[in-house]
Amino acid sequence: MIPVTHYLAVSLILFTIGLAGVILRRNLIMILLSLEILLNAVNLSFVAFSKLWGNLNGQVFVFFVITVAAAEVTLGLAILTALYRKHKTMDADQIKSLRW
Amino acid sequence: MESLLFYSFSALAILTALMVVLSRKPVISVLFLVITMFSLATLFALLGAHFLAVMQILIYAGAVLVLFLFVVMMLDLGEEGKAMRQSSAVKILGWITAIAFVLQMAFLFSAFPVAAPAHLQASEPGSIQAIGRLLFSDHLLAFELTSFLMLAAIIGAVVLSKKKWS
Repeated sequence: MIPVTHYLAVSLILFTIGLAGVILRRNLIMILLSLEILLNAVNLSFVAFSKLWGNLNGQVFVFFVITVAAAEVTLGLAILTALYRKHKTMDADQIKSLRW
Repeated sequence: MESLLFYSFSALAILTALMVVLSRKPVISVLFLVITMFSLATLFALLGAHFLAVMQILIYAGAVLVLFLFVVMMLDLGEEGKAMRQSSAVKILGWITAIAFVLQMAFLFSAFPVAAPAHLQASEPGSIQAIGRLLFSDHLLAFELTSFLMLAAIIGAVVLSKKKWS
């Protein structure tokens, strides 16, 4: 029987790695990938708390998070391809214009 | 057995997540993220959330990351010269944020010990039947609304990737 705090510690480490990726990486695709790590870290803590309290609502919430993440990735990648077509770069520091 | 599985797969998840952030080639990062998703699915299964473990593999490893791979290969990004940001202000801000976050969570863990009341310890399993019953009774409205979300995402993706408005 693994204590729930260990799952929460894994979730915390994953969240910190994802946060560092979002802040430090320059490539927009890598920023989206780090966002996925963030979402999954939060999902892990949701499931751990769901197990701790014996309440399945946490797992249902994770289901909705996965659904929203799928929609978010679809739109995010569509925006990225449109940006790449326009600017020919994926560098977050070089894409500065808000409209074109 | 359970602790062996837990520690090996959480170590695998953390290592591959680190490789995702540190790797220079986007394709390598996406492939490492697949391993992260699989180890997280194992952790879900260890927690008794079998339905979510299956969904994790199906949706994340099966759909989301394949989409990422398609885009990375379509855009032909290749290797970046410098993977990390060069601006030192952002770098310092990033480190401060990460360290502050870890300290804050450590403080929360130590200040509020995580323990459920004794009568709640016997948790129910996350079987597909139980989850399905909950989804189609208490959360029916939200469940149906996700279909609208998906429709909006599909239409948005088509509109955004259209080359030119005629």
